[in-house]
Amino acid sequence: MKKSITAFYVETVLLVAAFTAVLLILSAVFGYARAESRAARRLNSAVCLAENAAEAFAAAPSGEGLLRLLDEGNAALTETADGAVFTARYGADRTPSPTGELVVTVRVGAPGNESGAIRGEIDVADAASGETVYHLTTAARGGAS
Amino acid sequence: MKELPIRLGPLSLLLTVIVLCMTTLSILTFSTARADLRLAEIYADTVRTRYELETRGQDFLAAAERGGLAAASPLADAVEHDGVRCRAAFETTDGFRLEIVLEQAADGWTVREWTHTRAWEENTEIGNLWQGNGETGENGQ
Repeated sequence: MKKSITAFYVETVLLVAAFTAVLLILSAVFGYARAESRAARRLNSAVCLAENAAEAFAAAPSGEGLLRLLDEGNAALTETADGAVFTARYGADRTPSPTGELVVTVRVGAPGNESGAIRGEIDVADAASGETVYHLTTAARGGAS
Repeated sequence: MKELPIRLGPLSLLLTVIVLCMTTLSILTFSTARADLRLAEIYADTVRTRYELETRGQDFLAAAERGGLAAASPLADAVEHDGVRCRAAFETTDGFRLEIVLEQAADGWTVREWTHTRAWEENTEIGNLWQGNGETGENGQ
């Protein structure tokens, strides 16, 4: 009788241990998949925001025009004194938000190359870590403001 | 009082089924997440390439407006000019292409076309399907 009870306990412990091990491994796999999924969503959002900023830059490469196009009721939109850097914050759903997790920075470069086209450097960064998620370079020939 | 014996056989079977189901789900979740990330990276690369071509096109246009076609021509991969219209093409190594058509106007150049394309080859491998041209298949039908 005692031997039978010991075998039962050993079997139960082994079963629970095996199940726990499998659960731990599967939890790690699910966690990794969630991280990959979040990275994909964040990259998609960053690319969309960079594209939007690039199109705004193409429409109005500098000054008041670009500020007006980037300002979608965005309380977090800022502009440097020389009007060369515009910063706006967006949430994960790409809506303007002063506490959003993505920061879009548009740097309007001087026409440095021979052609005379104005360069626009667009960075989308993570607000918390400051890490650049996506970078886009574009150019526009106009000088509308 | 009579004690009922607890058997672990059915419990083991149940746990095995649960583990198999969860393993299948985890594999599906992981592969979907990887595919999503891969797709997002391809999208990001495509957008970057497209704006790279856009930048070259804008450079070409700005150079044409400032210094004429002679100054702009070295910036394009191919330029054709018939006196009124100028067609310029820009290409990348991975098959993306920007083609722009400019027309001479009194105050400079007017953009007539600005087209992004990508070389694409149709996959004609469709197996042993009936082509609809009256030929019979392998089994004579």
